[in-house]
Amino acid sequence: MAELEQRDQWASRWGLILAAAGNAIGIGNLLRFPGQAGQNGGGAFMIPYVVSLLLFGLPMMWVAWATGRLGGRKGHGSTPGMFEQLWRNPAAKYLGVIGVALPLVFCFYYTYIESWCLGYAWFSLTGDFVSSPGHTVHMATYLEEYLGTTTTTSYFPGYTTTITFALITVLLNVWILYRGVAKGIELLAKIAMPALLLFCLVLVVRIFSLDGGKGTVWDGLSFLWTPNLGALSNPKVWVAAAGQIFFTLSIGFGSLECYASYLKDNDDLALTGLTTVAANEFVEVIFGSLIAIPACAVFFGADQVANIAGSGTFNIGMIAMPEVLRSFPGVEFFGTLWFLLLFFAAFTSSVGVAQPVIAFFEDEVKMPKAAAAMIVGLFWVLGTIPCIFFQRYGAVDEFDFWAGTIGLVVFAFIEVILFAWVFKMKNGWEELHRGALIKVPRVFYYVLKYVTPVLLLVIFGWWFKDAIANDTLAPVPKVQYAVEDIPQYEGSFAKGAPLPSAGVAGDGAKSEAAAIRKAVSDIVMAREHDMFAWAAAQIEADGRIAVQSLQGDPNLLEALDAAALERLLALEGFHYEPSSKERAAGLAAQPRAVKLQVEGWHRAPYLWLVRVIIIGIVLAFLVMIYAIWRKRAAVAAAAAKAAAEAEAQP
Amino acid sequence: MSIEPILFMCLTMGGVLGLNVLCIILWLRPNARHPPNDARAAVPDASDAPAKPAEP
Repeated sequence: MAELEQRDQWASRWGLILAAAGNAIGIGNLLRFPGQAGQNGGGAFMIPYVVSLLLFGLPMMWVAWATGRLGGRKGHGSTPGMFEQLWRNPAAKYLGVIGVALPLVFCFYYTYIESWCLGYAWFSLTGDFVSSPGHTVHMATYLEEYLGTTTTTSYFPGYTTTITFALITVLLNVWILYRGVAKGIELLAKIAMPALLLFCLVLVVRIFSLDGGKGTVWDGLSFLWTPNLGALSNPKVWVAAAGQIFFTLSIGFGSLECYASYLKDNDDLALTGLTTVAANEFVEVIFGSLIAIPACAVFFGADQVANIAGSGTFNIGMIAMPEVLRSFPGVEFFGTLWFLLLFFAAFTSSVGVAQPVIAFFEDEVKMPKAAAAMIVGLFWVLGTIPCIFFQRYGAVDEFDFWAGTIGLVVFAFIEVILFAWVFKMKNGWEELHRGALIKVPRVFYYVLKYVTPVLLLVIFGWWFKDAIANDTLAPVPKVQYAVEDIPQYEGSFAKGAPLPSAGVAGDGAKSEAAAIRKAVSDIVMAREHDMFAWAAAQIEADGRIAVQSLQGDPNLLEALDAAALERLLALEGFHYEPSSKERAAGLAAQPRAVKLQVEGWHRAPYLWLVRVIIIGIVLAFLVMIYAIWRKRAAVAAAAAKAAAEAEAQP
Repeated sequence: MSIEPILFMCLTMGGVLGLNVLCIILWLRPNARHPPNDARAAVPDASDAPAKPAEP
């Protein structure tokens, strides 16, 4: 019992619920959900969404809580020890390694993303991304330069700012974890969660009072909620809804299990799990649909909402939203609020995901909390480095694919099989109902046993098929182009439909553009290094870019000349859009010089490095588990031998 | 804005709000008001503890 006495514990039930809700509520609630809903049937998306919630979201939530409390009873706060309670087999602890290694990997890149929100909150407060005369801030380039995904340096000369905010964020996380469950995670949740709700409310009021843009909030709501019932016949929509449920509830991280391990034996699990889901859905469905998309609809207009929603989570949050907020008075206040909201949502999630790793070092390695926090912090800082410096090669996406996508489903599948089939559903059901304040409907007994595992397999298969179809697994080079010294242009550079000068449209234009990119990509792949070229070009009166000359890496020039680059730009609809002020002054008709930078990033070594890091971390935990359990067995054997000898003494 | 999106929005948001209200009501029931989890260290692990003898 000595080890149990030293374990952390929750100070209050509400603190636990707030912490669990904070763990589930993340950036995805506010940014991913509206994008997914809008693109996958609008209001009709809610049908597969609710079905997924009932068929595996809520059941997996209960499994996580029950598994966690079961493990906590024996002093295990991480899944290697917990899985051993579900399955008395030496292999069980090794399966549980996924619930420790992948959360650590997840923290590497998620905290980095979290640091963008902190950085942008600071930039909002200081008005850094507000344009001034002669210095236009283009939000897309601003983000790319902040992340270092392009080598132009109009707004950020290097990595200093990015590293500073990443380091602050990691240290904040480690500090909270060092303070422990009650004084750290729980206290953070008690402050951050009410603040998060307050920020949401203020932003909703602000957005609903915006006017003078190209559209109204109702355009955004109409886009999000108009039901396209025909979409329900598309399996992709059902998988998208299932995926959203997966990400939003933080299932498959081992973090809820860890939180539950600090519960008492007869504490409720059923109502706690249900309340966690309810709180998460409150933020996701209500605030997720009332903030970002309606705000974008007001500023960009109804016809642009679909493009923005489809542009991805970070484009909505870090490009479109600041664009909206800076266009109306009070960007310093409302912009800071928006990014602090995202930061708090991410912060309460990242500490939750990291806690099982801390618990592993505390409970299994028997380290003091300070040492555990220090060692995890050290790995955390080291793991964030490749995310920062190799982001341009796709390191964050690669980490996310293995640790934040495929790994989650694999972990959840193993967990539900162990719980429902190995531990036996009858025992699991009893465990769930021990001290329960509500009776879970019996139908979930069968759902958990039969439906949830099958659904998890389907999701895994679909995602893996998608990854192969989209070449996610093949580290092909990335080819991109950027405008140099962009702050001098008041208008914006945008991609869109093929320009009339291209002479083709639709799939023809797409395949021709892909062929030009592939030629460059093949050269980069063959020569095995990054390649750059610089083009002198001119913005024509109609906005198209005429390339006059191209100089740079001779290898790159083998695959791309000035004419081919100009053709690529036209095929991809890359053009200059004058600002309204320029239009009014008639400047649009005046051709201007522009310099372009072509970049070919050789991604393979960096993506393989990410994979090696993930494999290395998994192996390191496997070795640790092997050593710890072997030592325990030796100690137990020695104790048994001593007891036998004592008994044999006359 | 037509009636359909309003209907779907109100139904979904109403459902989510209802679920939250239900949870709050369930937590406010007298039997749900347990003391804070402050006694774990003192309470032996239930699975390890010997069965308590019946009261005479």
